[in-house]
Amino acid sequence: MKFNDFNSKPVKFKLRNGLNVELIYAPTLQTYVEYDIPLGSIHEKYKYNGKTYTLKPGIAHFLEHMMYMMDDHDAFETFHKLGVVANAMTTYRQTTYGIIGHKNMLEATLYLMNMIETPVFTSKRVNAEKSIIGEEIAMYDDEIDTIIQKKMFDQLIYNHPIKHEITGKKSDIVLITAKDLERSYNHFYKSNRRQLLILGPIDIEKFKAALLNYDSKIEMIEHPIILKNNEPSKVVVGEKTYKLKMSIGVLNVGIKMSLEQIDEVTLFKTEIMMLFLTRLLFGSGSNFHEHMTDENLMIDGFNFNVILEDETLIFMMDVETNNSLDLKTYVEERFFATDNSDLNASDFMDLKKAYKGHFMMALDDIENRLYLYGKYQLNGLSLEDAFIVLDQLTFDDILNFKNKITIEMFSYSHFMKND
Amino acid sequence: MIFLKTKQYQAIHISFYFIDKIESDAFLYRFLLARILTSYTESYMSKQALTKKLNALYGMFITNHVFVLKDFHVMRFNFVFPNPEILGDLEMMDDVINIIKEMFFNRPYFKQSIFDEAKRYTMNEIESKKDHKFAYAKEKLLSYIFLDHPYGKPITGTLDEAESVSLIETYDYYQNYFSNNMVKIYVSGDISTLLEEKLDTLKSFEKDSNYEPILLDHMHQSIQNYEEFLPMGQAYIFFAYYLNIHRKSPKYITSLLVNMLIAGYPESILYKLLRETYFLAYDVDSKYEHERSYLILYAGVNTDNRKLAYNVIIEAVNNFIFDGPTCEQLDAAKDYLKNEIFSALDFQDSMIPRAFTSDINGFSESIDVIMKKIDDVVISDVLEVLSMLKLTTTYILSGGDVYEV
Repeated sequence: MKFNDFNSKPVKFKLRNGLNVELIYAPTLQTYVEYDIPLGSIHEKYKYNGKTYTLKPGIAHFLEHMMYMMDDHDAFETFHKLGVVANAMTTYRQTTYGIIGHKNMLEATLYLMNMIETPVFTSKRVNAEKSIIGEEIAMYDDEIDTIIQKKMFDQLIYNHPIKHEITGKKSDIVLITAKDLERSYNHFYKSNRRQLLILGPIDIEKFKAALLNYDSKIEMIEHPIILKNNEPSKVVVGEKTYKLKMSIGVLNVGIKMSLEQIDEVTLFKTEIMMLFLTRLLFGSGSNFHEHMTDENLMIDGFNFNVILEDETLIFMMDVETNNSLDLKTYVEERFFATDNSDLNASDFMDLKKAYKGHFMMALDDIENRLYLYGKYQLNGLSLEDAFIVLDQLTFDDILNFKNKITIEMFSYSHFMKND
Repeated sequence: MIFLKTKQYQAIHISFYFIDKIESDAFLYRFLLARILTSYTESYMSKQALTKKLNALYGMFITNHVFVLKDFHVMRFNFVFPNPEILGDLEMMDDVINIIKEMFFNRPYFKQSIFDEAKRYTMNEIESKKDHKFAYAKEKLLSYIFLDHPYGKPITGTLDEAESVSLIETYDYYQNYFSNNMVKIYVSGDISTLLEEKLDTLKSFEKDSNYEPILLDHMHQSIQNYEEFLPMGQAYIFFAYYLNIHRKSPKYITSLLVNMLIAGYPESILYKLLRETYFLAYDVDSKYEHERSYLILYAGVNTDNRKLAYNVIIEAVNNFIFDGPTCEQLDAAKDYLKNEIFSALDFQDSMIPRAFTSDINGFSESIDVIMKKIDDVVISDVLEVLSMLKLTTTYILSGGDVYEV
């Protein structure tokens, strides 16, 4: 199975202001531009110029909202006048600003760069934006899936920033000030690790010349040293029951692990080992799923989710059930069965084929392909490296990984109907 | 069978559309069937066995989408897998084709355990709707807009129907109705001659049929306002405007622009007003569903602000209907619409639904013609379409006055 990221080789260069640029020719209808800042919600403590700083929860996402405010106008207006679509998102480890369009793309790209180099953080604007972000948080908070996830975070995490969600909580964002934003901006938005990726039917030479001549307001700085989150390895609570106004109960199973090594290959490999292991044991192809469905203990299948951005691994799998307590017992029994009868090399090989197929198909979505390419690259891994890790994964890797997981790493949430 | 060939993607998509005239009595059977048919086949007799086989086929996955479109009830099944030629495994196509054939055609009596599981799943879907508040609100809104028309009925069927349905009835529906449905097949991806030859064996399953159009008879005589409370911190505010413009009408493109201008994108009047002037909402949106002749506006605001937001929306839309956009606003909306269309064309998932919608509407236009039509829209066209908007229904789902955030 051949791996193919882009048909044309990216043209890479660095601007004087430290921005890493890659231009990729592709025969698409639209041109896709992505500007990545290496600041995400998981970054909490860092060292810059020998001094230690703390980032308030939700600040990366708050900055994302604020960057569109220019001195005398809203940047969205300019993007729309140029005929392009602008968007942005904050993840655990980065903030990404994007534009998509079919005309004026060079002009729009230069404007995007200018926008990111023009911070306007007045107290009045900061306070106004708090209302909007508050509504965004409220929108997620009304969803039952968010409640289920948050409760498990509380059971697993003492103080790791994952607990605060990417947006921060309402109580977090009221504490953010214009000064906080300014300092975070100065320490991360000038980092020598930020990158600009452009993919589409572009004139590479024209773009390269224009970007190299770009008159930047920014002087590059060395990327701050991100400090380790001192999260204890043990879970906070092993099991808890919640009564909620809901129609069907839910069992959420959490696992927390601490990793000793946190290089990108280890993180990626650990993440897929966890997913392989749990899918083999509890996925829709497992004996467990078949048996529990027949016994009417599960309504549909488990949803699996792994968060692994540093040394703390958080895994969750939830399922709708009217008998959460019994189901939990079966989950535990099955996971710690010593004969490993539900794990076999043949199922592993089939699942590996499925993962490789999905990896390949995920890249068909152009925007997603560019995002994944940028995400891995920002963290020092290429898409091809990731594919090789997947390709080299063995059944023994899964068995050895399973042996590292102990019963103390588990936590269970039971959500029951509040009649 | 329609082949949509492109060299841009590494996956092959095969879609089967089963189309019947819209009949709300059949909604439950069709919802159940979508689950039963994709759970097992004659060769893979359980969900577990089928999942394992799909894994071995490089993670082939099957999605189903059950929906109503104009006068039709449509069940779409989409099979997605990596291109066998890139994998160097053309023989896997025999397995893919066999799974498709066994999944839909000449099925023996369904397994009781699979039927029971599908029934439980469906009842759970119906009973847990209030847990997913936004989806619940949208379904309630449709029921208030369309009253007894099938558009107003939940696509899952009702709980009473689900509780009483039997395996015998469901299989009877499969044999005597579903099996006579119109069937359309589409394939997209980098399809070689060899691959096309293999897929040609599916052609014989296509079936045509003529259904009588049904008439929309759901207009309220006066504006109906509904409000409902659930434990939640937000208020979802919906405004439904009747706007009857056919896909073939010259006004169709203008109606899409009107949708953009009102709340369809970040420069729209409501987005700017609610988000950037009043700081009331994060989420503001609108959608023109021309098949159902409705333009629906939505805003998510803090429950305490729902009355203010409601009044702001009413006033802003009424003013806009009277004043219309400026030339600059119209130009920006045109650009945004063009971007939406181009982006969709860069996306493999949109290829088959676009082709299907063109087929069902009996209407297809080249991209150049669409772009020209967008360019040709002028302010007077927008004012004309705006004057056709008729507010029939408003609906607010919120935490009310007592909910503590």
